[in-house]
Amino acid sequence: MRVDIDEDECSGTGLCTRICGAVFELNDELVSHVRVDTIPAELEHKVREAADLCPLQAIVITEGEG
Amino acid sequence: MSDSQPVDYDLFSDDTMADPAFYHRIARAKCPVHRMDRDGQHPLYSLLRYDDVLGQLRNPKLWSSRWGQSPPYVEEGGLRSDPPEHTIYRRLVNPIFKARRVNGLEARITELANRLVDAMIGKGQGDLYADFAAILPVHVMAELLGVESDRWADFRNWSTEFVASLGAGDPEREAAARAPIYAYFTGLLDERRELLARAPEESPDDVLHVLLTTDHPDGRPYRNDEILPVTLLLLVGGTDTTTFTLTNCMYRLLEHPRLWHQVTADISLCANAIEESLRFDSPVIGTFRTNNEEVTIGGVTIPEGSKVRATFGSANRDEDVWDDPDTFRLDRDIDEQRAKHLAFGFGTHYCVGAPLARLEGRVALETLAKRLPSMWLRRRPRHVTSYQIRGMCEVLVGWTERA
Repeated sequence: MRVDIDEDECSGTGLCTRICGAVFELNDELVSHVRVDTIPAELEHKVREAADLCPLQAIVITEGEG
Repeated sequence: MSDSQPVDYDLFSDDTMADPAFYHRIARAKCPVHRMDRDGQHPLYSLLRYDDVLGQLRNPKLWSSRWGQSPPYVEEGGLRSDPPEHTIYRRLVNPIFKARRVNGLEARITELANRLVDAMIGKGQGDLYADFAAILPVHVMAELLGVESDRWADFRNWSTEFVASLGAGDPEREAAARAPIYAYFTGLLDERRELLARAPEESPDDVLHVLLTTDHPDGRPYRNDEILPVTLLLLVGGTDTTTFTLTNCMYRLLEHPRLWHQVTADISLCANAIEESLRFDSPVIGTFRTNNEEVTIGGVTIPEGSKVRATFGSANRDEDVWDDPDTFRLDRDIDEQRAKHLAFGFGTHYCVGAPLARLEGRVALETLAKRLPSMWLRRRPRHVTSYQIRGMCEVLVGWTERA
């Protein structure tokens, strides 16, 4: 799984960091970014939940090898 | 089930509205999944614990917004709906509040805030609600929506009347209040559409531009009948709640002058104060959902199709989640606070205007702290009478020195 933040869409709600702080964090501009190079398999369901609940739909998931 | 009301927690009583945190606290201890029976009407359930509220907001498939987000069963539509309808409207408003657009407003908000403080100082003493907090968000929204400054006074009157008409629950008054707003924006949208067609490079990069150039999922532009409700939503959602974020915060700071002194001595604490106020006196007390199937929470079985409130105000004071929850503190970790409190909701329906609310709150507070550091409270503030909104609507202050 690959995950990217659409920075143009992100409004910095921080919901993704709450759901999966191991993968997402807010930068100084309060825009979310992905803090890891590869998504650990055991966190994939959390990342999907974050993408599902993101009100801005700013988390883009590409399935397959990371 | 039969003993689900061991405490007198009545969502609509004057007592509860005067001090919701008190009633939330006793209800959380005795019946955290509360059922309020009402004569001749459907019961209302309230979830009061943080984990239960978060669980509800995290599962929008079970907890539907189709029947509205308030006690009666009404299909409100627009943003108060479920996907896919919700997504259509959300896509339209999201671009307005992108981090980059919102952050660019800081200088302008500072200017508007200073202008209001100038006027208040000229009067010798003031009401932080009427002279400042009730006006600033309306001006910011007018600016954001591209309302010409000579119409701001009209815009404020329309906005006030429309919000009041909603509170009165009178559909005729609501329709009458909506009319001038729709008429004004219809004209503005038509002008801008014409400009876009004629000279697209001259179209200013503002919210109207966004609304007119965002594509509907069907691949066409949004129509006026889809855009106009958004202007109302921005007024309703973006003015009062921001106003009360600020008045509630100022109340708590001035109530304990030591806190106000800390903030004026270290302006960087303004962001902490706003975040703590959102937690401590959440302006939106809660929102209702309707469950698509029977659920049992904390031993209480809630039948399918019940009206169940996610009580943000209670979750944000839950003693299992916060240290010292009933103390307004400036020393909590701000990043943790931002991610944790539920004042803006959570998930699909998370407050779209949260970044703007945070910015406005912080800038407004910084302006007051810099300009009127000697400010004090002249009397206990008055609160609005509402089961939905926690907000101070009169905060009388005096001052000696000013800057």
